[in-house]
Amino acid sequence: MSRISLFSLIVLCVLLLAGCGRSTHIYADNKDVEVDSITHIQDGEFLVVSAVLVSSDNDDATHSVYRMLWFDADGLLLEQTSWRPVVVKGGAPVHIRERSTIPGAAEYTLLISNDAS
Amino acid sequence: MTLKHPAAALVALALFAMQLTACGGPRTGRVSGDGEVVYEDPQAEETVTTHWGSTDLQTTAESLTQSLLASRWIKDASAQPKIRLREVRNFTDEHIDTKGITDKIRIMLLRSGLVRFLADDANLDAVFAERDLTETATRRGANKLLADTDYIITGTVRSIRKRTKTVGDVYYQVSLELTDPQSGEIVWADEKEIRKLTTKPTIGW
Repeated sequence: MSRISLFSLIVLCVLLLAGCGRSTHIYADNKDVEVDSITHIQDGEFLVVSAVLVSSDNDDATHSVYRMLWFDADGLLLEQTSWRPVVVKGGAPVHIRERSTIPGAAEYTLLISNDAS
Repeated sequence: MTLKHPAAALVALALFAMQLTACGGPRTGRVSGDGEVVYEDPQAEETVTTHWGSTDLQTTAESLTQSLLASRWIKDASAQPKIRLREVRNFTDEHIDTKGITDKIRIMLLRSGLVRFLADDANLDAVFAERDLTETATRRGANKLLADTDYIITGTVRSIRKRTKTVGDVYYQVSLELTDPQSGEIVWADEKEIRKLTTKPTIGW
């Protein structure tokens, strides 16, 4: 394979990876709740995100809230969910699943916060 | 007029400044009174009491809408299904404006662009009144759309409430169904469960 072909292949791979990649942001101000894993799939024009929340506090249940923000390919906010209460107990991972309801979501941000109550 | 004396110039400047102050200057777009009134995030978690609240309405509507949009009857439909909202019956012991739930679901479903909605019971009278007014200018056939419902949405809200002297527990179950009115088949159903607990200290002030 010539150098030019190899270079073209690398550039193509980089472009493909850049096109496939979606920005995933997680902001958490609650130190007791961590995002163990987060994945997403494209379902038609909608994004579906699944995440696993775990608590570092093994003794008490941690009351938190989370919300999902959906952005289009240009980074403009499409929609956001309300703050959702979630109880995470130590040693028991909590699975959350969110689905965008407006077509065109390309990026998302998961916010986790301390329970305001 | 010229002010040669420095003291006179100072007095004139002070008068000018006082006049500006009296006029108030440019307004900032905010008017407030003596009371403590602040705006808050309408989507924040609300836990004032265990009664049905804004967080319950929002999370219920959002969860059920997401589930409905994922159902193959909506997602894989060849054409946008036409839906009519029917009653969501309240079987709890408190007043719950169930139309608030269905209205929010309808807004979210319409934003998705996957469905069409027909006028529901609440505004059907207004639709018929408007049609009667414009009947002479339109063809009767154009009104056929009103009867072509593909699916109707119905549902229930139930609760179980228990209370002791120090603990109050309430469980809500909101269930929705998507029914084909022609066949009577329930093609989709889902529920949202909510549990809220309140505790009162045994020793208070």
